[in-house]
Amino acid sequence: MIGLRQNLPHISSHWNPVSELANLQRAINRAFDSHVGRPSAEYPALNISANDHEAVVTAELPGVDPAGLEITVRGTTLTLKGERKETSVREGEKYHRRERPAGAFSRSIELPYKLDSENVQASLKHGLLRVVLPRAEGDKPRKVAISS
Amino acid sequence: MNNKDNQVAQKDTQEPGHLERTRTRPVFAPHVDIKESEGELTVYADIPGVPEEKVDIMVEKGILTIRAEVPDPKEVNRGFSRMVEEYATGDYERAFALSDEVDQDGIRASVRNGVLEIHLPKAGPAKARKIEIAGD
Repeated sequence: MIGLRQNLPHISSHWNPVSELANLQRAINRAFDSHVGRPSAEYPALNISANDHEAVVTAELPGVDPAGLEITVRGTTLTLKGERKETSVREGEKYHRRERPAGAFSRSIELPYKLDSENVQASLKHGLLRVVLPRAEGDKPRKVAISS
Repeated sequence: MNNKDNQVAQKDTQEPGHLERTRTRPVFAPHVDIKESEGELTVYADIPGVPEEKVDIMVEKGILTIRAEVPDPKEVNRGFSRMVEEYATGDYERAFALSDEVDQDGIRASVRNGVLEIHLPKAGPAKARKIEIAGD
């Protein structure tokens, strides 16, 4: 075994195949984690970005008509409700593939701060929902001066 | 949620899309519904986030190829940090072998609410050709 180790470059004397595999597994997990985060069983999947003043929630909602989507904001909670309609089939037509999900959905998420519900903006463009949620003025972080 | 506090997390999510653009972006196979009537084949593909001008449809040698390019999210360069990422953004690509002859000139496509709809009219029944075999 020692001879084998010496023949292989770049492998330290502490080489342990089992821990190498564990490292690889961790690296793979990290790569996936940083990409998709924790996939949610809930629909729709959401991406949320935020800065000090507002949060932006986006969701992919292909086939959802803007008129058929209901967005409500209350306190710290955002609720999305809507429906994805099935592809209609007339008589004499048949499906070859049917993969697009369809049906009613509803999802609520809680944000870590109070929302300025008056100034929430939402757009649904090319099947991509984008909700801008400004933080309530009184809830923004304030710098505290230290008196000497 | 100060920007500076989140630099590490931001780099993880932003660099691939920001520095190398389309090349490192993931590519997804869009969900499709395909239906057939007597006269045509209709394909519906979910391509959320893609504007009409970024969709490329090709039919060549009986293969239908759909490509759609998603623009970068607006927040990437504006000092936002990612809090939750449940879905990944990427381009869409998928190809299908068509069983029937398609009338290439008659193909129509449109994008509505993030769904691509392609109508592929069938060409008239291909004429059976008799091939003479020369005897000896």
